[in-house]
Amino acid sequence: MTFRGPKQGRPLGVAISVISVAAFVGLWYVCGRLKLMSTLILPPPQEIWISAVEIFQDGYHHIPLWQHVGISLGRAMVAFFLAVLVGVPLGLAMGLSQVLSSALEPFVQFFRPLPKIALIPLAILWLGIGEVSKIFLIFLSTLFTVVVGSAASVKSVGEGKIRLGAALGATRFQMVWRIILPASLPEIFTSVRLAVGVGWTTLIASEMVAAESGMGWMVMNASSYMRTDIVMLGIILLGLAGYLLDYLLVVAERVTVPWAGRE
Amino acid sequence: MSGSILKSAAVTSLDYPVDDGSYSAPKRKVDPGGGIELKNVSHRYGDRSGGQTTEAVADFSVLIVPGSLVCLLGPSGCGKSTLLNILAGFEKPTSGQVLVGGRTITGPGPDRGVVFQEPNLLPWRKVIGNITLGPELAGSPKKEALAKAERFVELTGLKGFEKHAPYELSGGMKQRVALARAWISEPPIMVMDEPFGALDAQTRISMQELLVDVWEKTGATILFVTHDVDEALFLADRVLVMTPRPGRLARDIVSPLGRPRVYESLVVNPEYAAMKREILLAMRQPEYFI
Repeated sequence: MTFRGPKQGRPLGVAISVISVAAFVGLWYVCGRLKLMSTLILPPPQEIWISAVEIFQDGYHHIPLWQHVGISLGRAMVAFFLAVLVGVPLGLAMGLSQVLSSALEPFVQFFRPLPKIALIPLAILWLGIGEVSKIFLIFLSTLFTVVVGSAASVKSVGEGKIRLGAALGATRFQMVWRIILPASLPEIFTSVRLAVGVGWTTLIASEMVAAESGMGWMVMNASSYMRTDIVMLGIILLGLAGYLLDYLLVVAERVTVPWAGRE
Repeated sequence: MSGSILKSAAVTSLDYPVDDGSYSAPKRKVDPGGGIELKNVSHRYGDRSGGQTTEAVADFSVLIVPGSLVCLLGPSGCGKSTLLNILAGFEKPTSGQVLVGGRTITGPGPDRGVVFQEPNLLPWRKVIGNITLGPELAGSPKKEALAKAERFVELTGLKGFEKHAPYELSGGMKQRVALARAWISEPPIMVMDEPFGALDAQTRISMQELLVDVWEKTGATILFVTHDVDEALFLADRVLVMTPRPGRLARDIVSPLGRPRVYESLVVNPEYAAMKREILLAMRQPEYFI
């Protein structure tokens, strides 16, 4: 028996989570009402709400709010999609082939821990300040985590399943396609979730450096006008969008690999 | 050592004594391809770093006639799993020869079904999908595979569970699926590595009865590894007792017990007690018998 942690999604658990968030916002609201802090340093939630409604209606710098959110999400999704498309097969191939693994390992291990923000100057130099350079940066910061995770997932497939395949006469192709790949899927999902977290960070960083739209840009731009309320709104939206992305992945995982963790 | 080959001749007759008239031994058509011959099989595990090697199996020879149910009995770590992995084709012996149906084996093959300690079910396939895995990998049309599966679903008592996911099953049910999966292609030989070791006592007994039942209805030879003396006594035509590492054949005992065997009757059967005593002695002082 393994310890499975608190069961999420149970009514009591959800209720406690809601109360805890409400209490936090409530406390924040009261601090604002009592004017315990300058609104420049910590704007109260009601003020952020007013700004939110305002930019929702009029846009920020003539770009509607939903477009800022959409642009950021779009950049991230395209990059994540490409990273999974390239990273999963590459990682699986590395997990299966010792030669390929030895050939690519140095590059993967060099790039994976490298803060991708350091590549921003190069990305701009090579690809300009358009969408491509931003997508390229997010792609890179996601790719290596996916590659390493997928390669490791192959190694983690139990010896028992490999032997089972061999005993049933599986060919090499069948072994990979019918046994190793499906058995690796839960771990691949975990690595994609991790990678998306890293990629989201890079997105915002690259938007903060070179962009004219997107949530990261909005935060940076607002800070130069001392609009702390919009900065905080941007942070909240970024957090929510990241949370939503992760949630979508969790849902996709439950649909695709419902057996994960239940063997 | 060489006495083992002589003794094996005693199990060529598979006519069971009729117990009380109510039981008639099933007319068993033994698969002639199920003969197993191990000739001076030795296995060493190499320790690549220090050049140290561990001898797991030493000079093991045995001849098993087609259709028999042979239990390989020994303490944990005596090399019985190694021997079984060699027979299954997962490992190559350091020296010696393994013949199945008269031919030297070169690796795993469809002539040997394997049931592992762990059920090793594929969690993304339903029960029925797990059972039909072998035929599917061999390229059988799905319909044909399903038709074949039906018989073994019935035999293993899985009727009604075909659409269940593996994680919805108990340990015993999972092992039934593993049995059906290995048996669906009707290999002449079934190799089993303590398949019931993790089950509770009651489930284990019902699984042992199930195993004998399916075995009687098929023509397979079974090599069954266990460390449980009572399990070996209940199942086997013949019990091979191994020494602790490195595993050698200490004793080769042909069971005097008829079939059907019922646990409740066996425990008061003097022949059962005598054979158990022999096995226990062999396990306590294996060196005496080499």
